[in-house]
Amino acid sequence: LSDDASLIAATLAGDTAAFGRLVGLYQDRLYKSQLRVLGSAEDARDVAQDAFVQAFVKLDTFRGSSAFYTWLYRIAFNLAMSHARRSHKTVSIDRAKAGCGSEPVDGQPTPEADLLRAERVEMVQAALAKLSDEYRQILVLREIEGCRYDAIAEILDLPVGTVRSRLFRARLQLRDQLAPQMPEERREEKIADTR
Amino acid sequence: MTEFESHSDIDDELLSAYLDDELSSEERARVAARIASDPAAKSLLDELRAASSKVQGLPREIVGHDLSESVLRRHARRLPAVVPYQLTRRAGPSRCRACQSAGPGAVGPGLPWRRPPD
Repeated sequence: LSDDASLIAATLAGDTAAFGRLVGLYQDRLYKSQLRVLGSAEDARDVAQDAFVQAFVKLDTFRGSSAFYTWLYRIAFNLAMSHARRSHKTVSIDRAKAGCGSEPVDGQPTPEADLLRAERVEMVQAALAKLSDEYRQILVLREIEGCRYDAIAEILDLPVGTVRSRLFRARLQLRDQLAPQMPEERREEKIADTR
Repeated sequence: MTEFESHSDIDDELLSAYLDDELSSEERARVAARIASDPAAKSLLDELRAASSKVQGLPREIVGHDLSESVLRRHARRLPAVVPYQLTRRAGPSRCRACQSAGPGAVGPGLPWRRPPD
């Protein structure tokens, strides 16, 4: 058993361990996205876990017309939106890192570089947190999940044209939120280029 | 916010979709011509690309532990409330055989377990 369909069939036939393997396959991907949507490691873990439990309960309603992960993400999306409506709390990425692993984006080894990178990550996360839920969700789907517009439309239950316009507006708002950070980075890049 | 679109907004939207390679060949040619002739459009495209890459460059966080055990445990706890009722009233014996295989041992103490009909 290796692909989603086989694991789903095995689960529905009574093999609970097969669903455990589906969890193992997708838990990090789902968690990573929910962390950026919710801004909190604890909330992201809770939503991811709740989404898997709901998916297991409703697995026999999955018809396979979309990928399993798309279906799972839609469950997580609804849970995250409910969560966001209940509580708009966010935490810094430093706090979010407590209790979870992290893979660096690049290999800069020095403490100064690590600190700079951590500051930039925090600024981007803070900028995301200032966006509306709908803008943050669509950015996460496109930039982190790498979804095509038709997949985003399916998950968010929107026309593709609305996906295009909403994504554009989300990027504009993100650009505005990040504007104070951009000139500083351009200056640093120029300094690095002259060395 | 309403998503009212002026003509200019729609043109700018195409820049965003251009980044994502989500345009028809006609639209793509139109955007390419605009970028070549309009410095403001080129500048906006660069800004959108930069904002986009900031999010794409966020670290790939991982959960740090296996969620499967807790997911399966929580699912098993739902058995008394969900499975017998749905099996007998709605979907028949094919619904969620995984729940059956988890068995009464997975149910919390003191909770009634009723084997669904085969």
